[in-house]
Amino acid sequence: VEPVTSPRLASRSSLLVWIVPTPLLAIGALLFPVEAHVSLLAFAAIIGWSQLASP
Amino acid sequence: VPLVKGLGGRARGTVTLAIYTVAGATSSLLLGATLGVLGHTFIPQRVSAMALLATAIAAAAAAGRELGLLEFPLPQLQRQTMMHWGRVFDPFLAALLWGLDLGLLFTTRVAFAGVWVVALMALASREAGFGALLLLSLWFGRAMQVWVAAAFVAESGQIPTLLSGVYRRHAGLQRVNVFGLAGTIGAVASLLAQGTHL
Repeated sequence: VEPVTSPRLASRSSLLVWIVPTPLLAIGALLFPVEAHVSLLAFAAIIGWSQLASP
Repeated sequence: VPLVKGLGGRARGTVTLAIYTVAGATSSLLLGATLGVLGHTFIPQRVSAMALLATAIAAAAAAGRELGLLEFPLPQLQRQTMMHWGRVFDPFLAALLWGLDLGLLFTTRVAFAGVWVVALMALASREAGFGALLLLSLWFGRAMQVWVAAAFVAESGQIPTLLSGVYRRHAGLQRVNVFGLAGTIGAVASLLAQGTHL
């Protein structure tokens, strides 16, 4: 297993924090004036993504 | 990260992650539907806009907490999911149990305040269907970490390392939580401005 200090994996982990929330934020923000219900689902997914959850 | 440590080959790993995801989706869906039913039972229709507003206020308080502007403890169980399931049970059964447990959201420690706001929103929606969809979305966001991490590495053995790196980025994830809360406030404001109920 590559050590966590590996620069490549470290930069990937940094990218991974934002890779899913960014498009979801864009979708949520674009939709809330017209379809706020779908926006709420996108923001719920962002909140879920941010939880340190994997067992 | 015992789930991703024992993934094995690509096919076996995909099945394990799928079991984990579907199990969590099932318990999240049931929790969300239950919250919607509870909301329908205990929140009268005439105060549904007030309930929505209260949820937006809770979201603002949660964002304030995560930004360090407010200080209050989160009601939660100080419990993690059972790590030893990975040693005691077959990997598929362990993935099923971890998914069911984490999908219930409040049976394990909560990292940030946002999950409470989503639960309150499910309650305020007064609808089993929308409550279920909200908690399902939350779960898919949560479970997606593992899938996306798997797509980012060449070998499944690197996933735990990558995820450990992500988990250390607490401040970044906290900011993501605040963005989710800010968006929730915006969406609720939009609903209230339109005079629409959930």
